[in-house]
Formats: sequence, structure tokens, C-alpha cells
Amino acid sequence: MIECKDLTKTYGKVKALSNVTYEIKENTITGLIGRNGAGKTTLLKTIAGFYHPSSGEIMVLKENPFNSMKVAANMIFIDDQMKFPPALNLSDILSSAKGFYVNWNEELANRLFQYFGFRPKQSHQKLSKGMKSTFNMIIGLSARCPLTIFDEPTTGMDAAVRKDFYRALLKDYIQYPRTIILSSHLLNEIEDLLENVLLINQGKIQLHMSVSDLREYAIGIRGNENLVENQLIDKEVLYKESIGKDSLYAVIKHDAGEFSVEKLKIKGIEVTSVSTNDLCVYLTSNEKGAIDDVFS
Amino acid sequence: MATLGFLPIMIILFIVVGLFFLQRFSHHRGVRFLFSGYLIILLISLITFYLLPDNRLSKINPFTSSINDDVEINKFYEKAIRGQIEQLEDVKVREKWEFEISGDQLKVSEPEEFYTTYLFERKEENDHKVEIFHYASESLVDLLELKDKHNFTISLEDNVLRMKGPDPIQIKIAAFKKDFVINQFSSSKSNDNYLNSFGHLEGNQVIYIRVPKDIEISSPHYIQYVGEE
Amino acid sequence: MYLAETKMIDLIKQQFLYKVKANLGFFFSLLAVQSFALLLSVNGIMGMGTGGPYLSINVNAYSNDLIIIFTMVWAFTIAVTLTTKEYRNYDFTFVSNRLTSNLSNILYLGSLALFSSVTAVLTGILLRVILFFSKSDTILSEYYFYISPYELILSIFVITLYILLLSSIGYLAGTIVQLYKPLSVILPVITIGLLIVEGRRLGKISAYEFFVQEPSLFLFTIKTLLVSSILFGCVYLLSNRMEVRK
Repeated sequence: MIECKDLTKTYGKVKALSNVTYEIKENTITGLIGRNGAGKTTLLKTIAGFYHPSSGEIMVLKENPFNSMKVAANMIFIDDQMKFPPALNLSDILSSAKGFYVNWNEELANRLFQYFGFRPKQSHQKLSKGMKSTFNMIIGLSARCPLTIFDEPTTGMDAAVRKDFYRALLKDYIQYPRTIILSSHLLNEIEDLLENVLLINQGKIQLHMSVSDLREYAIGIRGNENLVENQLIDKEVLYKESIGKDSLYAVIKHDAGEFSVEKLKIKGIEVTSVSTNDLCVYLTSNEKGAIDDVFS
Repeated sequence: MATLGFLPIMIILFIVVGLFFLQRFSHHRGVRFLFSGYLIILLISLITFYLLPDNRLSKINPFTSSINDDVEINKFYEKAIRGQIEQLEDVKVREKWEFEISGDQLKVSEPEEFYTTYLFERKEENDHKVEIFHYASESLVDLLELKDKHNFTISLEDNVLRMKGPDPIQIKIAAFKKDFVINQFSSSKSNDNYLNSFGHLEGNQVIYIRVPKDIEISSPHYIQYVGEE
Repeated sequence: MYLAETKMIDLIKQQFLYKVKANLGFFFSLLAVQSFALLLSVNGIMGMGTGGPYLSINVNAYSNDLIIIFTMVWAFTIAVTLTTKEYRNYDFTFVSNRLTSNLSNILYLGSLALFSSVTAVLTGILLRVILFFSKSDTILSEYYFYISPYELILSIFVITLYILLLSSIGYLAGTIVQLYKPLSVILPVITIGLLIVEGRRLGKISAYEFFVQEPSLFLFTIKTLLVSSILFGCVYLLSNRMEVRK
């Protein structure tokens, strides 16, 4: 569905994306995770054909998405910056969208519209931030585009609506499979939804794997500082944090077979799994020290 | 015309401000009705226009009428002074007077607001008759058939010739210019200076006074004789 | 999964309809502009008095020049407006690429040109009708009042072409300014400057001669259509690399 090779995008001297290479398969839900300014939006807008890559190659539906009719007709890009002409009210917008998307599911659109308590005569400009996001999401789902891109779709939504949205997304995806890319800076809420995670940091792909692999990617160990330090030799340390007086918590990359959880336990080291969300935070932190260093 | 330079800027400002407000209200029903109303008015006016009675439309066309143009105004007075006025086409005797006169003196009395040129011509004999002719070139007065309301009053009593001009008539004309965009495709440059073209519709006139051979004329003004340069 | 095979012509049609619906405000501003011009024109644009003591002639000139000029400026403004980031983004909210976005804009501007030209000429007719009924003591010169159906259609046709030309200029100027913001000041200055310099040095302005003094309708049509097409083509070339939804 999407193939990227050495994709680089620069704004002046700043590299928003550098040498990004990845592939996204058809009919999967991929989460694009990264911190603010990591290049998520740039990457998505390049996929959508809004931006022109500075170098490298991007293929969507086997075509260069920039100016491709095929990509334009089969793609929808939802974000909180979506602009609609002020002359159109919400129902006008929905009926316009219907004309543009051949797979448009009017019934779904109307049901969601009513469920979330919208009124047809409302103006999009006057909606609150969360309501705007909700409305845009309705368009994104109902369009049923083979490639559906949500860039930070839940901005401003409250927890209940976010939950509803994720459920709706999953249900509609099962009913009508398609390629969905969802960007967020938080993984925990969407973890259950995703099949793959594309972690991006400072314009580079940190990792790209399935969610189940990600869960196994690292383990956390905690115990006496010296004991833990001993264990860290020859290991890839992702995160380190002192707890209390001489206790240390560290996150290390999990290489299967190399160490036995039992042995560690005997030594008095506690072994825990690392939540994918924390893992992403660790992987994308600038230094190995984090906020504490600012105060030390 | 200098203010015209600011016009586009004014219009742009007007449109931008208008757009800003109208975009906000444009999904209001009232505005849509207003717009449909405008279109209907335009349509009705189009139909009305082609059904208008043409009795109010005058056939005056300053470009096709035979009324003298600027060049011929000079010619008119030139010919008049030489006594050759009748050689001019479109110049006709509009009024005629004939008075008996006794004695050998003619005193001219004219009111202060008398502006028409008058010329004297001595006849070959003393026939005790004063003949007066009012020559006029074709003018709006003819076209609008106002001749009856536009007469000179001339009388001769006790050897005093009294002349009075007609009561003033005011004519209002509305002229709707052709759209400037189509002017470039028409051969008649009728839009150029078209306002002034109405100016010479006023026409020219002169009064000829033929007097007996030996009569003595006295006038408060210079006495101009025909043929006297 | 069903991949949509959208034909370009269908998409352009869809975008055109969307623009008509979304930009109804343009029509209202047209109404406002033309009514304003009508109001300014209703008392005549010029008056002239002439005549002597016995016969005075007062000619009052009316025209719908003002209405036409206002409409032209309006169309120019609309063309510039369509190139702004906001309006470009409206296009790319739904299915669009740069070619269809430009083509539907051109189609839209063309329709606006025709529509505004028709209403401008009809507003001129409305002015004549108002004149007929309101000035009962005034002589109406038939030559300067009546407009034949042929002249009416010719007028609409020529104004449409002029507006199309102005729209293409506005559309190109707007696009250039969107790409290089500082040009929003420089461009008008250069244009006006060049016109003044040319007018002074040669006593004529070549663009004016090229269009306004062209006596052949056929050549005028070819010239305006050709120049507008070239300008629209330039916009496509410029906007072809333009990034959207920034």
C-alpha cells in the first residue's frame, strides 16, 4: 500500500524527515507514534500527497501520491486543521462529502452524527475543539477510503468520546477492512486497536513492528544499584532511573534466551514488563537522563 | 476624474468587507431570498424594457440629424452677413413681419436681454415698408415641434421698432451612453465627446430687417448692414 | 477493498458544484457591489448645460460604465480570494489534486464571469427602466436609450471576456503572492510603475492598445481567450509544486 525509500523532507536547514524507509501493508491499522515535532504530520502529509518530498521515494498505491488522481480519490486525511467553507452547515458538509467519496456510507454518517448529538444546521466554525474533531472523525470513518489517515484525531475529545471513537473505528474496520494510519503521541489508548506501530523520533524511524512484538521488546529490572548495574553490562540500556537511596530501575532490550528471569529473582532483582507506552517514551527521549537531570 | 484612481481601491475594500460579513450570513435564508429577488427584478426589468412605449423616446440623434455642426456655425454667420443665408440648406424663414412706415426715421428699441443678431438691408426704393425675416437653422425647436412656443415678438409703432425674444425654454435630455466595452467594435465613435454633441442642437438664428432706401436708422447699438464686412 | 476509479472530469464537476454551494457569499457580494454601483449611477454620471437665453439644453449622461467597472473589480478580487491558503485548503479537504483544483477554479471563475456579466448588463437595463419612469419631464434620446438585443448580447459577451481576462490576471497574481509573500507589496508597485513609465515614454499603454483598441470582435475574442489561457496555464505550472494544507 505504502512504500517509502530514503524519504527526506527538509524545511530550509531543518530536516523534518531524514532517510525514512518503511512499508505499510494493505488492510492494516498502523499507529504512528512520536513526540511533538517528531515529523509525524510531515510524514502523513507526504503520504497524502500534500507535501513534496525533498529526496527519496514514496509510493502509495504504486503511484507517487503528489498530484496522483488515484491516491487523491482513495485517500482521506483527517486532522483538526480541516477547513470547511463557512457557508456550509454540518449537513451541507456531509452531503458534499458524499459526492466526493464513492464508498461513502451515509447510514453510518447519519447514525454517528445523531449519536454524538450534532444538529444539521450547526456551523463547523462554531463547534468546540473536541466537537470539531468528533465531526471530522465521522467524515473520516464514513468516507471508507482504502487509505484513511487520522492525524491526532482525538485532539480536544473527552475520554468518553475518545473511547467511543476507538470502538467505532475498530468496528467499522472489521466490517470494512482498509488501511488506516493513526498518529498519536500516546500509545496506551490505541494500543489495543493497532496491529503495527511505527515509532518516529526526530525525523527518523525508531522502530516499526507489530504491537505484540513491541510488548516483548524490553523488560524492566529493579533492585540494588550494584546488582542491577552488573546486569546491564553488554546490554542495550533504554532507560535508567535511581529509585530511593541505592535502588536502580533500568529498562533493557529483551533478547530472548540470554537471561533467565529465575536467576535474577534469586539475586533479588525484580523483573517487570514494560508498557508499550513507557517504552515509546524511553525510546524517544533525547538523553538517557530525562527531566530529572534538569534539576540535578 | 482624478478621484477615479481611488475608485478600484474603494471597491476592493468594499468587497473584502462585504465578503467577510456575507460569508458569515450566507447560509441564512433571508439572504438567499434577497438574491433571488434581485435576479427576478433584473428579469422583469429586461422584459419591461423591451415593452416600453416608444412615444417618449425622441428620435434625436446628434450624429445623424442634419443640424449644423461646429464648422457650419461659423458659416452661418458668414453667409448671413453676406446676405447669402438662403444658400444654406436647412436654414428656413421661421417668421415674417411686414410693417408700413411713414416718415424718414426708424428707431430701434430692444430690451436688454435681446441676444439675436439683426442685420439691416436697404432696399432699392422707398416703398414705406419694413420687412423683417427671422431665419433659423434647424434645431431642437423644430425636432420637438416647439415652434409655436418659441416666437419673437416684433412690433413697429410710431417709427419705433420693438423686438423681444421668445420666452426661454428649458429642455432636459437624458442620454444613456452605450456600454463602453462595445464601443471599440462600432465604427461610429459616438461615445467620444457625446455630451457636447448635443450642444449645437440649439441651432442658429438671425433677423433680417429690410428697410426703405432713404430711411434713417437709429439704434443704441452698432448698426450692421448686410454685405458690410 | 474497492479502489475508486474517479474520472477527472467527474471530479472537476464535483468540485465545481461544491464551490458554487460553498461560495454563495460571492454572489451576495456581487449583488451588493452592483446595487451600490446602481445607486451611484442613478443620478447620472455627468451633466452638461448649453444653450442661449431663449433655449437652454441640459443633457444628463447616464451609463452603466460604473456598474461594469465595479463588476470587473469584483471579479478580480474573487480571483485573488480563490488563491488564498484558506480557499485552496477547502479544495484539499476532500478529493483533489492541483490540476483538478485549478481546473475547477477556472471553470468556476468562467461561470462567475458569465453570470456577473449578465447581471451587470441587466442592471444597466434596470437603470434605464428606472430612468424611464422617474424622469417624466425629460426627453430620452432613443439613440442614447434603446439597446438592441444584438448590442445586449454583444455587451454580455465582451464583458464576460474582459472579466475572464481580469480573473486570470488576479488568479495568477494571487498565486504568485501566495508562493512569495513579499511580492504582495512589490507586484502592484511594479505593475503600476511599469504602466506609468510606459504611458509617459510612449504616450500609450500597450496592454490597452492590445485589448481595448482592438476593433475586430473576432481578434479580440482570440486575444482575450489566448492570454487568459496562458495566464491560467502559468498558475498551473506554479502551483504544480505547491504544498497544501500547511
